[in-house]
Amino acid sequence: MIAPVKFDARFRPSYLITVAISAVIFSLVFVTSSETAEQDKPKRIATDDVFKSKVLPIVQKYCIDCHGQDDPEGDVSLDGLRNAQQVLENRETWEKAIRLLGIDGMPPKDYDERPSRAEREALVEWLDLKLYHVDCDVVDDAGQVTIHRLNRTEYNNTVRDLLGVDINPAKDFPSDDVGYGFSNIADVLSLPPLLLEKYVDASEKIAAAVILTEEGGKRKQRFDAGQLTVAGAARAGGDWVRMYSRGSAIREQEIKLAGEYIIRVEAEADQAGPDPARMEIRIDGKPVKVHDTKGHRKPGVYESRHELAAGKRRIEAAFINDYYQPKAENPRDRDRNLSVGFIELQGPTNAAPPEVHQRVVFTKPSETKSVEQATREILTRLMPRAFRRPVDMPEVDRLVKLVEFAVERGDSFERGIQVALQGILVSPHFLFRVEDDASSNGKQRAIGDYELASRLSYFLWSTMPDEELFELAGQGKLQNPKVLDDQINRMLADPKADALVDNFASQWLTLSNIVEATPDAKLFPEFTPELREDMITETKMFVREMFREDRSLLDFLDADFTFANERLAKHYGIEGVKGDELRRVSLPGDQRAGVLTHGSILTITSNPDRTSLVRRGAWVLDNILGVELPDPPGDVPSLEEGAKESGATSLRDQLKIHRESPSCAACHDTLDPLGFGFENLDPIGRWRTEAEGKPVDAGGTLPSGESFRGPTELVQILKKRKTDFAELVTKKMLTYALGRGLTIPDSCTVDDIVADLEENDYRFTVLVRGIVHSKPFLMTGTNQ
Amino acid sequence: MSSKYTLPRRTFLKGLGTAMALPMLEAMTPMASAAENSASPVRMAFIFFPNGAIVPSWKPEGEGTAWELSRTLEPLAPHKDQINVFTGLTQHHGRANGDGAGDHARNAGSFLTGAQPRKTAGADIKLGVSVDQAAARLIGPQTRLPSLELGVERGRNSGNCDSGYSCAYSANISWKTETTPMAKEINPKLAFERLFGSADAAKGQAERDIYRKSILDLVAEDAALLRKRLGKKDQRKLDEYFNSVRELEQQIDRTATKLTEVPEYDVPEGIPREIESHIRLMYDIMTLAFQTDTTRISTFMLANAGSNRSYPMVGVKGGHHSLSHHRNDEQKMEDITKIDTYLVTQLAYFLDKLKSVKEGDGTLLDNSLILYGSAIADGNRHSHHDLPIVLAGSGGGQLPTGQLRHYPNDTPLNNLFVSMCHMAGAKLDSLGDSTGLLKGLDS
Repeated sequence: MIAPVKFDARFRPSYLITVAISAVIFSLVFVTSSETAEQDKPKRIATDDVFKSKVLPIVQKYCIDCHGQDDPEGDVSLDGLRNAQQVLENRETWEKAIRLLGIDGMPPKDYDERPSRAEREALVEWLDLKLYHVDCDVVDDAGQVTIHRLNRTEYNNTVRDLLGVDINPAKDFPSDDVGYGFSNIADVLSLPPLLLEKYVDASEKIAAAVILTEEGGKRKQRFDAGQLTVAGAARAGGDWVRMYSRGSAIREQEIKLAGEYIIRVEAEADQAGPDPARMEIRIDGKPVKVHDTKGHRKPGVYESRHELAAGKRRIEAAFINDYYQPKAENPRDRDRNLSVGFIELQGPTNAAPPEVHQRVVFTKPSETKSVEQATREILTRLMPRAFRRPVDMPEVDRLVKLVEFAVERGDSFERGIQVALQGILVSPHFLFRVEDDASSNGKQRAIGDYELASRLSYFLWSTMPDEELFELAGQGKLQNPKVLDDQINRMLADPKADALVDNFASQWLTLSNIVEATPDAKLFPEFTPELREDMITETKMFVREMFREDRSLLDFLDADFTFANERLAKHYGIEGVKGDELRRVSLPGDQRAGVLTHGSILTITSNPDRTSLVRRGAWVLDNILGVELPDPPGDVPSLEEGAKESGATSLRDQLKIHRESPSCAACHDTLDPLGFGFENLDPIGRWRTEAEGKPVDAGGTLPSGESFRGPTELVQILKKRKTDFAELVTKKMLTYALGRGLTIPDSCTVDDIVADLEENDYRFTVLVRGIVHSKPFLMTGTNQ
Repeated sequence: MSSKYTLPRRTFLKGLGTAMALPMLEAMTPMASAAENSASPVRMAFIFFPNGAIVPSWKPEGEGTAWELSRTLEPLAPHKDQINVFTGLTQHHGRANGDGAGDHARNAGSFLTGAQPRKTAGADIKLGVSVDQAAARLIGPQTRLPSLELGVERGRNSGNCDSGYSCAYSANISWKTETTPMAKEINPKLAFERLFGSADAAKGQAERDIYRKSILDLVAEDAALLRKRLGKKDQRKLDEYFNSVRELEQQIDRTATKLTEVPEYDVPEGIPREIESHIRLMYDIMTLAFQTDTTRISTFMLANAGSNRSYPMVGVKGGHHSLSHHRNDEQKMEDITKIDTYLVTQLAYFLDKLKSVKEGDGTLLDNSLILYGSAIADGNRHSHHDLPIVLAGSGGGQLPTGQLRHYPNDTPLNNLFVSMCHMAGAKLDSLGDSTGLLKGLDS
């Protein structure tokens, strides 16, 4: 066992919100040895005795020189350090210290007297225990989640599943702020006035799209000549679209509600020849009606009824029987023309309103049913689903009054229900995932059945619970571990589980940042919007495959396949892929493997005009290994100045100077080689052997001494850090599942899940089950 | 207060972001009350640019009224007599002060607050009230919108924004409370409709507002009942909700007296691809908001803190943030100077617009205080002192302009903010780390 800070799963202290610092860093500094993690070790505690006998002497021997009483370096004085308690009192200082010690960054490498490895490890181990240790047999803390506002995605999905309309109402909401890398962190999801305004606007739009009022059925939309487009021999301009030969006037219109519409077209004709001028009405190019126009140069309105499906419809009025005899004797017989003045849509006129309407407004007031009764029936069905829990009478009553108010004002019942629906959609019970604390008496408790249904569905689906979950919650069965497992399996098999790809994995892999990526258009004309989309799709399909096939998480790192269409395959230099559809393709062995060689990740971690070793290295540390480096020193010395003196010109040489500077070296010894490993892949992810006219040198050596050449070799080295990677993914997913940052007691949960993963081939479902069955997920602390 | 306008239905500004001057629309100028008070209200805008500047190119030479514009500020030449440039002002809480890396998050965070952002990636975010919101509390209720927050970049939606700081700090400069950032509108069309309504919506507005108010009453009650059942942290979130409900209610009340005609201004659908059009549209919208006295306070982020956008229109290929760590490389410094100058050119466009609106004896610019700057001076070194700060307009003649004003290093930028607020009629005692009014502004 070489790595010093490896403990058995029940007792691995090295942990904090931001990560297991020392353990992971050591795994880069030294060859990893996670396979030999020891079991059943006796508990260790950072005792005062050890502090006085081992720790303090090391500090006094190596640190006091600079961090003494007079003008201490970095304003950190260790002069008065006497007992272990002081370490906790100055937690921040010691948290920094442990990071620096972990990468062998302190004392600086050019300093004469440096501790031996054994001394350093002893120091780190004790500090790690003192700062991050938690005894999982004793500590019982589920942590607390702040009341959770639905983020944009959750809002859209919840509206879709509650009401059956998929209209993306959150499109115009302001961005949700991100915490811990995710946009579902309760503490940072604030609700400024602008957002409330948007909620109110959205509630009106949604209510109008769902519920058809009588007013809605009578609604006419008229499009004058100026609002029409033309095709064929037609000319727009002025009050009429004029057609001198075959041509048409067109309106492309978004139809919100499907149903029967009256299409009215104002037309006038120059009559000539034996037949009247004929106007054909077409919907999406399909002829549905032919009108014979009446009268010569006499405007008239021609009406017909048609079913229109929801979505963008192309309504067309076409002139189909042109007639032109310029030499005819009678001037009135020479030229037949048609002009269109407007196209008007009215509807839907159907007696039977659309399905979404009927699902909500399934009853109406009648002679035997009062407005109050009808409203009550509707709301007692709608509200529990909207609020994701049973509702009580007073809650219903208040909305009933609102409907009655509308009806008394002279509005229709349907309009009243629209207003009630708006009230529901703006209510805090809809907008927040409420976990009611009233009965907790300030104690930790198991969350309620309905609360659990919501936690599950927002975790796996990013949306509200479905009927089955509600039913199980209502029966009090959901807390049963077997039932819970069945539900996890069912939910993961549902297409809605793609939310884990789109939301969890996309954010973990920072995929959405590719939208901001702006590769220089002159240098990289190949980077088209289409290619960008392909890259996003590639990574998403890849992740989906990982999840769907319940593969080992480690396959993320070195899978020998990816997804590509012709364009992306060409980009990657893979042959034999045709067409626009992305499909699974094998990767050439020596160039690419796993997600780290996806064009998306490589582009995100590049500058617009060149690759960035530091960004690529940092990305691997952040998102694969879970390492947080110490902050760079405040006054970074100028790299160029050093470079000029030494005459170093290549980036590699310049960075070498960087690494020779002791204050930089500690971190850059780790960062830079990781970046170099991907140098064969250019700023938009293409394979290259030359950069700026020089051969690419993609070799490197990690502080552990492991050497590699090129990305696939580096990936294999990274894959050996199984525990680190499993721990990183577990922390990321637990953060996402809970919607909060992790705290020290959560390390017990993480360690349990990682141990479980190690025993079960790192399978994806083991991770999900571990999270759902964990204490932080099933329980809640008091929210003070 | 009531404000009735007669607004001619005519074209105001055509196209988007062209350099066309605003027609003079005195009929649109605000305020029965302005006439009564015989003074136009003071408008305040706070404009943020990211990543600091190349200081030697930014800093003008001279002192007082005897000074020359610098290379970066050259585009402001037509406005030299209407601006003040400051040196020495400092945003102390942009510095680490023991919190380590994360200068960009602290740049946006401290810029208008003068407060130290709590270093957290999410739990318990905490900053301070920003100058615009402190002013909006006092003078905001006089206009339909207490304040207007604009930007051109969405907040990131994944990853770390800066060294362990939540993205809330990098993506917002306006903070209503210590814990509530004011999200910004980045879609010009939606910003416009928020200010003036849409032609569609105008029809049923009265009816809609009746229901809106009933609904808001009802959900406020929901929130009050719910609040009792929750722990303390949850209560804070509910308070945030509750305050937003109240604010919207007040806004609806004030709408009853607002202008009836929507200014005829052609705002394109969606978000323009070209950043220049986007920025100029937002400046146009700010001008319209001030001109119609729909609000008197606005903030605008030209990009999020640490933005790595490239500026190909001025021949800069690299990303802004990467370039800003130029390590004295001449080419990179030249590139950053080009970006700095480009963004100042856009400011000049805004000042042109404001100047083209006559108001009383002067112009809208005269009656404004437009602050342009950043809480990082040197982007390479992440320094937070001697900040690049331009203040345009005289606040209705209260602030002598056309000067280069030197202050000792470490003079709190917030002192200038407090002084600006006083000129705008918001008599703050203090803000963040302010130590009083900024001395010597009256001469």
